[in-house]
Amino acid sequence: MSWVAWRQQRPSTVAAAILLAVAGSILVASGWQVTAVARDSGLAACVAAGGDCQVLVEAFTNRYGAMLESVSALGALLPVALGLLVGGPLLAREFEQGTHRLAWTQSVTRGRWLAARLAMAAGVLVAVAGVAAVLLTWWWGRFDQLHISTRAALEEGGLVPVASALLAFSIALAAGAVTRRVVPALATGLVVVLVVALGLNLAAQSLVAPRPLPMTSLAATPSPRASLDDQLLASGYRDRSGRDLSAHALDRRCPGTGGQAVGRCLAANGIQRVDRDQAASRAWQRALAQSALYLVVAALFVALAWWRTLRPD
Amino acid sequence: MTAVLQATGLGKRYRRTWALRDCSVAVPEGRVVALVGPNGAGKTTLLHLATGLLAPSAGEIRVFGAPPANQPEVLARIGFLAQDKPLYHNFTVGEMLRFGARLNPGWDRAVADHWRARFDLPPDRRVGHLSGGQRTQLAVALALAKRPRLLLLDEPMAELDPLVRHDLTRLLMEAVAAGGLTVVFSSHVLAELATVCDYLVLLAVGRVQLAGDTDELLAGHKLLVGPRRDPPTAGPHQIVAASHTERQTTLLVRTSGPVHDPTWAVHDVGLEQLVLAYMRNPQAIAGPRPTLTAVPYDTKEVSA
Repeated sequence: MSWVAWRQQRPSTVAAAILLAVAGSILVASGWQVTAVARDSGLAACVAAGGDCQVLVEAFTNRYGAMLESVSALGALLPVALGLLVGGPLLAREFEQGTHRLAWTQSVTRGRWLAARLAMAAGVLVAVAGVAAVLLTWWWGRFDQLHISTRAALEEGGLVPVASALLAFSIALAAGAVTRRVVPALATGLVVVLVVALGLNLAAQSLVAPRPLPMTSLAATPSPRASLDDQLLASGYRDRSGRDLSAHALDRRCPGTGGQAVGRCLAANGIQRVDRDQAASRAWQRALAQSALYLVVAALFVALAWWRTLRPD
Repeated sequence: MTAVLQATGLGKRYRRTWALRDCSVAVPEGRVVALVGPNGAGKTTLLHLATGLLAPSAGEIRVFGAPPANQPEVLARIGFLAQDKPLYHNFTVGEMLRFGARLNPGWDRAVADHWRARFDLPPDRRVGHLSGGQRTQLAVALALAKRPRLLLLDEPMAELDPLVRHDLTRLLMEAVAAGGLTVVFSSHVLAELATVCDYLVLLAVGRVQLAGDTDELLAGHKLLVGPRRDPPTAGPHQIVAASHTERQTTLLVRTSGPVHDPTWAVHDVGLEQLVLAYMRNPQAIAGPRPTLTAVPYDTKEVSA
């Protein structure tokens, strides 16, 4: 049975590997680019020294912000795509081509057949998604180092990609068991995954709410920030009296889009950039809660697919 | 006599429509059974129930004495050829046979190799690149190499050329004659099976219309030709079909004893003629005759 399970897994494994190779090379290339730009612009050295790097950060985000957003979207969707790719056709293609009638009339019960196929598929997926997780953790690490992203390597990397790949897998699997067609299984799978993942992310956020560290002013030298591993939740500006300034108010006081002149204006008005962080350990807990929720819901969808498949029509 | 496959009050309903209803039939061991009926009569449904692919909505079905669903012991004894001959199109011929070998403990490699060679199927050719007929041949080889004791073939002949058809039927006859194999063919074309089957099950719309040993069925039906009688009457005999010309009436009857009425000229009927007469008249149902007593299969043998 294991040879059969592997042989049947082969096409989607190849497809997943190709997808991973393409997305992985985009991640690696953009990660290297980020590192090189941060080094050449002096941002990396500035952050490492703990100084006020605001002008450099702004220059960086002005230039690479859009890329960062699109690549981070790719990073979030990659594990989902892998899961759909492996899970969607597993049952749906059998039903679509009628080959379940062949598979289930050999000398092996449906339960054994399905168990072997699920074990093989889940093993392949964990391996592929594991590689994706390593890449994503590394990629988010580039930004964490520079302290310019609002998300942490822990949240988009670490365990989360593997868990979200398994969630997408189980949902597409169940969709295939119900719709019995590959394309509808993938389409409904995608929609359901996005909705379920959004709900679970909100649930994880309320379970492990961000507990911000005290606001720290970045004008002070050296930076009072406890650790560069802490996760940036938000950043903003405060005037001399300690009031938060909206972007609009800031623009009225010191018009311009950055650069030396604005920097001098801010300093003259006593306006400081402040960051709100949460401790790295808090982000860890949240990532764990999110992964755990994903896995529990994934198990429920696998159970649904199992029940739907083993029940004779 | 032992019933390999026994259905009792078997019914299958898809939502509101019954695909098979109140079906009671016992297939004796060592027979070649023609399962005949028009399209949509429930032939495929009956075969799927026999393989456990479908679960009955009513009644029960036993194969080798046990309900077939999820019974590896029963599954191992059934060779099944589904109507659309499903195979994995991205597998090669060799991989497809390896699939059979891995999933069936009783796999007979010699049988598989023999039929692969006989059908001239290149082992490295992808299934998706085979012709429809070749796919049927490969599916047949898979079913045979499993060394089943009950071979269920859903429309097996449709895509085979006459030569292969002939070979295959001869092989099946030999296997049945050697003992230990029962074959159930389904078809809506009786001509395919008339020469080989010795047992007939005729399904009308979801019901068993006629079932029994072909010789007994033929002996039990007569064609009566005589002066015109409209409406037709045939004494104690059940009229299956009637046709009239201006002066003459022809009846196909299921006899209940010798025909004594001297006004009738009595002729024998052929199997195709008999089946067509029943098919044209789906209301005619030949109730069970005590020709076959179904002995429950020894369940101990299955669990062993």
